[in-house]
Amino acid sequence: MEQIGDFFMMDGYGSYIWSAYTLAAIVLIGLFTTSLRFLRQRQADLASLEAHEIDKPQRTTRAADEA
Amino acid sequence: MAGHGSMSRLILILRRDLRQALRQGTDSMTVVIFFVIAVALFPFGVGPELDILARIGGGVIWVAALLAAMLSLERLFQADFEDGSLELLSLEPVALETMVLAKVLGHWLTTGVPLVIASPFLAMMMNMHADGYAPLLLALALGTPTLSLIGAVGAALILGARRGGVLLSLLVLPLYIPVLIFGVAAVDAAISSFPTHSYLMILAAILLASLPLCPWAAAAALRHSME
Amino acid sequence: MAQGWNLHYLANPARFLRLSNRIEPWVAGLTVILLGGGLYLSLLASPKDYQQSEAVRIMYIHVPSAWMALFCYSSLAITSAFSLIWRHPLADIIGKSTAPIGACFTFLTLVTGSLWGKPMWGTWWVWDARLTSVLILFFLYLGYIALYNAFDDISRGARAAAVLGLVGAVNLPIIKFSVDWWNTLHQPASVIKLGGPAIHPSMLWPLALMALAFTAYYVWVLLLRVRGELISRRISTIRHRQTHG
Repeated sequence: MEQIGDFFMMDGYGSYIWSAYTLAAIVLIGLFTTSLRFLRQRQADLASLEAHEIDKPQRTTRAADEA
Repeated sequence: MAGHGSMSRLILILRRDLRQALRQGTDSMTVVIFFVIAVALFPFGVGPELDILARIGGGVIWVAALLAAMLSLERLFQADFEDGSLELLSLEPVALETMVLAKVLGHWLTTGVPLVIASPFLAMMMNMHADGYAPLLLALALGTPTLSLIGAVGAALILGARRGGVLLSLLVLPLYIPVLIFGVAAVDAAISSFPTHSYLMILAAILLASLPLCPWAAAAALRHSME
Repeated sequence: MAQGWNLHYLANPARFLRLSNRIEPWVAGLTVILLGGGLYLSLLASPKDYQQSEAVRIMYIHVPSAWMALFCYSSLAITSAFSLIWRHPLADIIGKSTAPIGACFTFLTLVTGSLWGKPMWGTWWVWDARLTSVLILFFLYLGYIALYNAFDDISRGARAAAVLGLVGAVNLPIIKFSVDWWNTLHQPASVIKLGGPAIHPSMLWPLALMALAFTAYYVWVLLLRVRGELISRRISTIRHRQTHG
């Protein structure tokens, strides 16, 4: 038990160390989720746009289908 | 850059810009007034103790000079961009870089030179030590053209941007910092009875390096803005 | 310029999308493994420093972040050059996607630096050459991002940002040099030493692993953002085609 306590206190520097690691986690995870959400949203937009395209009279080129 | 043709073109553009600037003489006046007010704010802010003012005077004047130089940058290419003369100028046989140089020169004559002239009075307001005056003048004389050159690059980049003015400050101020550092170093060195020539040489070197590089970068940015 | 987007887009970027879809799981796995290993070593399996005690553990976040901040800006400068010289739209997109990642790492460098500095050297901030240069680097990133997004026309924003990216790259060593000099003028140099003249291997390993983990993370997030951008361009191409027939 005491060992875990020591681990968190980190010789008295605990608040600095854990703030640093927590902040890094927040920033990096935040950036990741934002980027992922950006991608997913675009994919969804594209999917709905292409669904409408299929409904419309065909004007698509083959090249567009490949991409 | 062909010799004779570009020189006369440069002078033509320069004369045109200067004539416009003089007609709206208020522009230069505004810049100088801003300069003076900005510096005058500091005694109000930090207290009128002469020792403190003398200590920070060099830095305050330089920062104010930077901000003042930036005031008129946004409009450097704006008018020509909007009324189409920029496209006409880019079609001329003279390099766009020369045109940029002409504009920069006009900007410096109407902004930098008045700042240099006003600086002794501001040095007095800040209780600067007598040894600092000459280096301040020299350093500003060497630094303000660089500020105009770097500013021109910024001005070219933001053509057609939203919120161009604020964006310009964000872009240009980090690039100004080396000039600021050495400019203030020259003044502070003189006041502490250290030799100033190395700092002035560095300012001169930065200016010489900016003379070919900045017009080139600005012209590139201008070309992109016209596509 | 619209035709340029169509031609270029349908050629390379499609290949890029397929390639990135294939390697993404590997990059993701690599990031997680490296990060796990790095964190384990940083927090648990590495020793206290002789002088700095446990506080040295902040170094395992701070130093890799700083490396990434510089690495990202180098990528930015290179893609900017590509963008201006060869007009490759993928270069624009990679630049645009790298900037926020670089800005985040720079921010982390600054803040973890403060958190390290306060217990070690007694102050949250000092105008040391390194700190000041990193602060200015942060401003450069913000300026790049702001400029890129300040235009209604995307390609105009990309060009302007590319010019700025290159100008900033030239200016970075100048800033570093001038701030270094300024710092030695005004203060005795307070150099941040990494626990001594050489790094002990027990500290080198966590450092290296975290650096690699951050790099893998960068590639992962970059892939996500670039894919998102490519799809954005695809969407506007389709919309453009729909409205103009």
